[in-house]
Formats: sequence, structure tokens, C-alpha cells
Amino acid sequence: MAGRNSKARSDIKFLTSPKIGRREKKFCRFRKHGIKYIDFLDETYLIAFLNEQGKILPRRLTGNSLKYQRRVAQAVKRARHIAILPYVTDLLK
Amino acid sequence: MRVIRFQYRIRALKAASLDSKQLLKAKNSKNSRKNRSPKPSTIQENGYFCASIFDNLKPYLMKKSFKTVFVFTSVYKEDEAKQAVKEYLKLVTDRGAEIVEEEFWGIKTMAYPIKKKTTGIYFVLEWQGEGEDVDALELALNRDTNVLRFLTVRLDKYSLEYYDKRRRGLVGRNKKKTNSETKAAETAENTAG
Repeated sequence: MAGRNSKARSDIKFLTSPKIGRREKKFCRFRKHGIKYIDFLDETYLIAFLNEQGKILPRRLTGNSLKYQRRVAQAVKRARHIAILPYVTDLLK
Repeated sequence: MRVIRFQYRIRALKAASLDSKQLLKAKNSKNSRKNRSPKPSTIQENGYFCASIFDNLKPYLMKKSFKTVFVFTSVYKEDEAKQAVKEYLKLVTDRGAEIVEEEFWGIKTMAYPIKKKTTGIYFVLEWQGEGEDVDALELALNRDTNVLRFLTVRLDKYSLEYYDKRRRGLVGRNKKKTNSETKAAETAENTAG
């Protein structure tokens, strides 16, 4: 936004960056990219949805829609069963 | 329940001596959810199903797709594990199931120790068959002490699409570079050379 507007409104100067205090809207990455299936065999992909202790991150952090959060959880649990992902750990990342 | 109800309806219609076309019509009008169908065995047992209905049901008689992950102990050497895999493949194919894809991952460090073993030999199988085939396979796997873990997952149309794409290298861990990317890499190599 700032980059696009800077040309037209170069004369206006803000004391603080206008981005501060404005939060970007979260989105569901599966809906955005049209991903329909989450592979439980691909641990490098699933790690994006875990914290350092191997817990599944909540929706409020990842922005997943409910439908895909359920599928992520299912995939992570399957991966844990076949020891691709740990149940509990420290310093996963 | 649906199957039984369907049978009764057919029986009733048969009693009313309707011809096959009317039978089909009645079936279509009532069974609006087309993806539900009687099991193939039921159809074979009840010989009075006419051929036209059988043709109509053909897409629903297709085998179900499954993905099975085997984790063998690292006590096995890789050759021994491959030998064991062959036996399981035979068990599955003897029952009339089809193998779609075999992936032998080999020795892999597990995320946590199982039975005091830290490594396991992974094998992933994609296959098509009946639900009873899964029971038979899992019974055999349960009895095998050299199998640490196994997991069978039913594949739906999206997962089938995904794994098909992955086989062609479009998506997933073995993702190949697209044409433009490989060309760019080649030109970079040429200029460097």
C-alpha cells in the first residue's frame, strides 16, 4: 500500500508509519491456494502448524478455516502415530 | 439399512411384475443420492438384478483406495524388510486387490523411540481393494512382531488427486522444477560453463 501511494502522495509525510496499529487480516492458506488435501506423510509441511513443543497451533494464530484446521489436526495426528512427527518434544524448530 | 430397504423395494417391484426399465426408473427416482449403492456381493447373490441396473451401478462398484504405511524394526536389514514387504503385497494381491504405488523409504530416524528402537524401515503402499482386505492385512500386520507401526488410511477424491499429482512430480516433497525453472537453471549452468 505504502509503495503504491508513495508516488501519488509523496508530499505527505507521516511522523509514524501508517502501518502501525493496523493489523493485516488473517486468511486461510488452504482456501487461498485451493489446497484440498493435506498429506500426512510430508512432515516438513506439517511442521509449519506446530509450535516448538510439537503442539498443534491454534486457528487464531494460523488463520486456518475450521474445515482445514480439522484436516491439519487429523494429518498431524496420523503423522505422530507413524513416528514421523513427535508427540512431545523440545526445540522442534 | 439402505441396502436392505433397496432389496425389499426390488422384491416388491418384482412381485408387481414390472419390467426392467420401470424398475430402473423407480430406482433412480427414489435413490436420489446416487453414490450410495448396494455392495457388489449383494448384487451377485440376488440374481434378479437386471443387467441395466448393473450397468447403472458400475461406477459405484469400483474398488476403494487405501494408503498403508508400514514401519518395520531396524533389526531387519533393508533386504529382509523388502522380502517381508513382498509377502504383504502377495497377501493383498491374492485377495484381488490392486497395487497402485509402492514407495520404499528405507531406514529413517523415528520422531520418538518405539520398543526401544530409534530407527525404522518405512514402506508406503497405495492400493485399491475392499474393506475386508484391510482387515486381513491389518490382522497379518498385528501378528508380525517385526512391524512397529502401521496405518491404513482411506483415500477420498482429493487425496487421490493429490497423490496422482505427486507421482507426476507436480506437488509435495519430490516436487520437480517446472519447465521455465529448469530452463533458467540450464542457462545459468551454460553461462557459468
